[in-house]
Amino acid sequence: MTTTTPVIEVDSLTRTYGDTTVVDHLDFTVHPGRVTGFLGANGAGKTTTMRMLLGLEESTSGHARIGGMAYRDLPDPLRTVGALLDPQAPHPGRTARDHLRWLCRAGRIPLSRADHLLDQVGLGEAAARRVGSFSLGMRQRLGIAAMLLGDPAVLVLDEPLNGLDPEGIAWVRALLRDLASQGRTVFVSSHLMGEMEATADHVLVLRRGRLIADLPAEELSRGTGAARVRVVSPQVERLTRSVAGRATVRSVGEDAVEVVGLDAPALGALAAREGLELHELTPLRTGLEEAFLALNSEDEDAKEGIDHA
Amino acid sequence: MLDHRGTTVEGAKTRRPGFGAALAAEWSRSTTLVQARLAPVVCALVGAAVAGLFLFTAETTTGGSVSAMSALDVVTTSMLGVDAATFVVVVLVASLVASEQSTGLNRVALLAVPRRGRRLAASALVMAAGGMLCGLAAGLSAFGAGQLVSALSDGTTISFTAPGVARIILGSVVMVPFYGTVTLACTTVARSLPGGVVGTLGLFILPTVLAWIPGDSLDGILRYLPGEAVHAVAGFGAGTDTLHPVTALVVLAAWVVAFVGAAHLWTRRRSW
Repeated sequence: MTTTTPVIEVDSLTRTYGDTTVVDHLDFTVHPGRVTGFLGANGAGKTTTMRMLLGLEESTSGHARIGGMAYRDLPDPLRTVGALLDPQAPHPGRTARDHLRWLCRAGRIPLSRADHLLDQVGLGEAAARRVGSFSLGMRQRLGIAAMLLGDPAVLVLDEPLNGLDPEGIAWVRALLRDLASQGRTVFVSSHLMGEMEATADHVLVLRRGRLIADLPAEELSRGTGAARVRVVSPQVERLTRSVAGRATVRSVGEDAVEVVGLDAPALGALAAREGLELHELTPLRTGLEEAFLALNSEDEDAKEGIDHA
Repeated sequence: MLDHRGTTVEGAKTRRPGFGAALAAEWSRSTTLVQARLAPVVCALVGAAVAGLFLFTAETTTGGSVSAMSALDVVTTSMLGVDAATFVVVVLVASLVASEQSTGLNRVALLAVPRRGRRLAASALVMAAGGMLCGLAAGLSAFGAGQLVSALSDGTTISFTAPGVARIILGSVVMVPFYGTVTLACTTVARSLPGGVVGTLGLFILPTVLAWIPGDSLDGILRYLPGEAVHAVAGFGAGTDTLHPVTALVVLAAWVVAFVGAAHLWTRRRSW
C-alpha cells in the first residue's frame, strides 16, 4: 500500500430514529497501518455507524468519508473498500465461485481473482459447492475472499469473529494483522473485548452511540484501574499484613495472591525490607474487557456527576 | 500470510466500472441460480399445459369446440398459456428480489454498485431480458400445444408464418418481460414476495376493475393500461380505439419506466 492509502473520517456523524439517537455526533479518524477496533456492547451503534460509512444507511447529520469521499461517490468502490458485513448474505443456492464472479463483473475485476482468492482462504476445493452447504467458518472465509477481490486499501469488517471457533478466530486475527502491516486501513467492529485485545492496535469505544474513548489499545489497558501484581510466596500471610492499608490482597491459589494497589517494584522493595521469600512477582495487565467495563462505569458515573478522583 | 494479490488487479488497464459492469453483474447473479436457469423450461411446460387445457375444455367452458374455432382463434386461445407463464415469472422475480433483501445479499450488491439507480436499472433490464426468454419459450410452446390439440380435433393447423400468427404470439409474449420488471419494482418497494406479487396483480387486473365502472368516461384511459396495450400489440380485438402496436409498445415502456422510476425514488434513501 502507498502513502496515499485513504483514511476513514467520521465527522459529527449522527443517526436518529424518531426520538432515539442511535449514533450521537461521532468524530474519529481511522488511519492506515494498524488494526483499529471499534468496540462496544450490542446495540451501542457500531453496525449503524459502519452502514452509514458504507452508504447503506443515510445519516441524520454529519459525514462519513473514505479517502475524502462518500462511499456512493467512489468511482471504483470494490478496489477502494472491502467490506465484510454478514457472512450469511451469499445466496445458498449459488456456488462460492459464482458468488465471487458476479462481484468480479461488478467491479471489472479479472474473473481469475475469484479462484485465486478461494485457494488463498482455503476454499479452493469447495469452489463449486453451493454456499448453502458451507459451515459458518467457511462462509466467513468466503466473505473475506469477496472483501479482498479488488485488493482494496480500506477494509471494514463488522463483527468478523462472531460464531467462529478458536482456530477460525486465530486465522482472522492473523489475517487482519497481516493486512494492517501492509499499510492498509483496517477497521473492525466487535463486542468480543477479549478477542479484540489480541487483534487491535487502536481502539474506538462506543457506548450508547457516543464515543467514549479513542486511543491506543495498550494505553486503554494500562490507564484504567490500579496496579495489579501476582505474588507467589510461602509467606503470603506476612505479605498480606505488610501491605495492609496500602493495597488489597486476594487469594488466587495456594501460596498465590493478587495484590491490587502496589506495583511490582514497590512490592519487591517491601519484600526485601521485610525479608519475605518471593517465588513469583508478575505485573498483571488490565484486560481490554476489564478496561472497557471500567470505562463504561466511569462514563456512567460522569453522567451522574460522581467524582472518581 | 495471505497472498491475495497474486492475480493482478492494480496495474491492469481496466476501465472504471460503469453501467455495463452493473449489467454484467446483474445478469451473472440472476443466471447462476438453478431456479432462474430452469425458468424458461418451466414456462414452456406451463404454457403448453395451460394452452392444451383451455383448448381441450373449450367445448365445456365456451360451448364451442376447437373444430368450430378459426385457426387464428385457436392461436389466440392458446396464448392463455403465456398468461400462466407470466404468473410463474412474477413469482420467480418476487422470490429472487425478496430473498436478496432478507438475506442481506442486497447489501453486498449495493456495496459493489453503490449507485442505486444504476443498479436498479441494470436489474430491470436483466429481468426484462430474462422475461422475454421465458415468454418466448412459453409462447412458442403454447402455440405448439394449441396446434397439436387442433390437429387432434379436426386435423387443421396453421403455420407460424401465416398472416397474423407471429404477431399474436410475439405480441402476447411481451407481457412476460413487462410484468417481470413491474414485479421487480413492486418487490423492491414492498420488500416482500407477497407485496411484490400483489402489487403486480393489482396492475394486471386494473383494466378489469376499471371496466366495471359504469359509463364510458374511462374508455379513453383503458386503452393506455398495460393489459389493453398488450392486446393492441398482439392484435386482439382490434377496433377504432385500439392503439397502434408501436404506440402500444411505447406505452408499455413508459409504464415500466414509471414503475422502476418510482421504485428508485422510493428507495434511494432507504436503509438496507
